[in-house]
Amino acid sequence: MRILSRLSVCLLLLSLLPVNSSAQVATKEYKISAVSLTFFRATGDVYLDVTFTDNLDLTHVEDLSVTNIISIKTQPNGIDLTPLPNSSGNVQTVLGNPRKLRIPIDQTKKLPTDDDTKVDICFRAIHFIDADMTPHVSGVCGTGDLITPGNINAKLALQLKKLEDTPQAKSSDEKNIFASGFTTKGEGEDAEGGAEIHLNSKDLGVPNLFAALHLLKGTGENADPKNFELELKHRTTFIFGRKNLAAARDALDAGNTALAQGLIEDYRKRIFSSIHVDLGGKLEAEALGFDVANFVGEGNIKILSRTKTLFGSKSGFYKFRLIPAGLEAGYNLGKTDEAAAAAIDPKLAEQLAEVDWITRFKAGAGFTLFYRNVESKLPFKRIEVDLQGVYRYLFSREVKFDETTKKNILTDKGHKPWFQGDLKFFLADSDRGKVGFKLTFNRGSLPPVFAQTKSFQFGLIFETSEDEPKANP
Amino acid sequence: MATEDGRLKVALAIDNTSDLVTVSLGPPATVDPNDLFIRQFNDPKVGIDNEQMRDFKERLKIFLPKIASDIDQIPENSNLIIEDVAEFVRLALLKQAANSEFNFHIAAKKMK
Repeated sequence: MRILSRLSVCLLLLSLLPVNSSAQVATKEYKISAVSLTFFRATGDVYLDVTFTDNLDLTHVEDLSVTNIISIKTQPNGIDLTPLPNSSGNVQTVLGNPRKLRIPIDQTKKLPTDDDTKVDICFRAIHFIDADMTPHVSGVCGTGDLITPGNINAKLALQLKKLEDTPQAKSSDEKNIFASGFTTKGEGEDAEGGAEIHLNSKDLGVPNLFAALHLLKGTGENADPKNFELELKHRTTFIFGRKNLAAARDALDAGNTALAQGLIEDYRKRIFSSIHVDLGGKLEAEALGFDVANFVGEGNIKILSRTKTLFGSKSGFYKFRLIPAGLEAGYNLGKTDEAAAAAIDPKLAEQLAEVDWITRFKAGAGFTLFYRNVESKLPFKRIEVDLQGVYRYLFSREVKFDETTKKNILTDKGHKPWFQGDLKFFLADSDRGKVGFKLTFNRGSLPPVFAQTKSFQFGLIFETSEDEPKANP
Repeated sequence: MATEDGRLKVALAIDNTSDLVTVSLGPPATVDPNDLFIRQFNDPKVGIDNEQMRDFKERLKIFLPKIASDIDQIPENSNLIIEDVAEFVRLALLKQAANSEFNFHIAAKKMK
């Protein structure tokens, strides 16, 4: 009853949160959001890119006509630039972006001078279309910078900063700057609390080097893996089918699109994507007490699948990772319950004192599935599944938590598996948010104290559209 | 000859990483979903997570080897908007083309 009442309160609080607009909903500003004039005369690149706040209604082909452009004028010199239409008299649409136009400039006519820095453009009328297919029309003007050989380094640095400033994504096994609190139910009587924190940094300034912090902590009986890890690792990636991709590139660059298309289609039949080889070291400690601590060097091989459609439908996808082999080797830095062990049984203290070197074999797998179809007649409009497992074999005796005395006084070796799963089922999924329930389970044990964990969480959830990826405004 | 903007190669590198995205080389080239570039990499219609961003970058380096060192700088963050990455690639290609043009002129002057 306690857990149900707690969940009810959580659901009530969540339902009071404001709901935001959905990911793919346009901004409904109906104006120009960005303009840039690329002016690289030596290479023949003179064109204007115009980005709009909302999707263009491309059924209005008259919008694309150069006659729809009132003027293109540089600043501060006020030079009128002449758009160069294609054979249909139109400017260009841009691959995969219904909010962007590219307007080549006629290089036989007037061009910007060296001290021009900005450009203005005005259209007579632009037709926009909303996600709900509501049309809007407005005359729009915009201003933007010139991109020239003189400022290209600065512009590139600015764009890189924009990428670096994008908030980090929260994904299942590579959670960045992600912290959560949860209620959990172990095999004991009461539901208790817990914490799960994953902090990853990929900005160490050294290519392919990552730092990460992981914390898994619960307070319920048999629901506390007591796992804390601070790690630094180097990753090397090997892509499958590299030669095929290079052949496709060469065919495309040579203008042989038929051959390139064939090679690309062959590549899509592949299941496996790449091999990641990770080498690094980590500090393992008992969360949050640090009574037991190990320093461990590790190396493992991970095979990643490509993202595959679910039964051939683009309503969903699945992907998986396999860790066929990994090795962890290190040294125990601290085991502070030796006195407590001696008080109970001197033999336990002897075994504990013998714990020093650490050698483990590791293997594992992860599986992610996503399905979303709001038109589906099935009760679930959206399903998210994330399953992970890791198997360790300890070649040497290591410290083990004793559930009876609640102290780290035991030692153990051999098989140490760990499984965790997150399953979300949504009954409703709309622009306002998603309603459903969530199942989470953890089973097994994790270093450094291998406390036996067997927990299960169930909760009703309401997620706002804020959690969804956003379309470019 | 004008510098390629790298847009098609970005779409192809995504196509090679996720079956949810399909590029048809045409001509004219098209992509499904047709609004791919205004989406994020982790959009349910794209399906690329942080770990797969590494694979995307490695493939993009195969397609655009001239700017491999610039591609290495792209953060492995699946929250990135694809258009922002495409713009970064376009600028990197322009920079590379400008440098090549400059070096060509220097070499030509030395020859004289």
